[in-house]
Amino acid sequence: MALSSFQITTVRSVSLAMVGLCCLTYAVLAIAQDRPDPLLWYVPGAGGILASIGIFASFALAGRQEILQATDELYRMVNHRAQRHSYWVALALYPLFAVLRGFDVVSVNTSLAAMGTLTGASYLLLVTLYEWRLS
Amino acid sequence: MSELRNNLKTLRAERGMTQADLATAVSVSRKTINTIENRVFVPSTVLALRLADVLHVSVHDIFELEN
Repeated sequence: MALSSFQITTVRSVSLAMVGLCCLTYAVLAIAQDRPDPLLWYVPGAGGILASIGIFASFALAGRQEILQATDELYRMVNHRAQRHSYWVALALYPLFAVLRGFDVVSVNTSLAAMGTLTGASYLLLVTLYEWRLS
Repeated sequence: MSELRNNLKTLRAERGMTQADLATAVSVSRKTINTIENRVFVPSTVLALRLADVLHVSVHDIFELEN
């Protein structure tokens, strides 16, 4: 069974979006409950591993031509844009959480958990958003 | 600043090609062809040359600067 470039692109987008939402949910719940493990601690990581397996498997089932199409220069441009923007989001989390810590809204452990998952979520959701906007 | 205008849609249609046909011929996604035609995305020189090659025209026939 050979997958088309559209199919592997869809698998990639959906997988990244789901892991991004998982990370975002984890961070929101962590802040809301002020605890670093609002869910099982390994859920975001396990989601990422499952997504990478799904993406790798779909690319393995596609031909070389389809892989070239799915990783063309438009995708690379979108990917680099998401990386650039998520870098600034990750930096912005430091002053944001400094304020939250200053008002004693969240504990140090919660901050670390939330910042880590939000950093991952920002890239995953931005790359998905930018890709879907071009559809 | 000059804007890059292109005649890709016209040239493609004249050859009876769909966006998917052209995308496959130059090894990019259909979305890439669509965004080039709609002037959302400016392709690299390499891709512009590949498009010109597939359409049997010069790069200048596809792309031109607007003022």
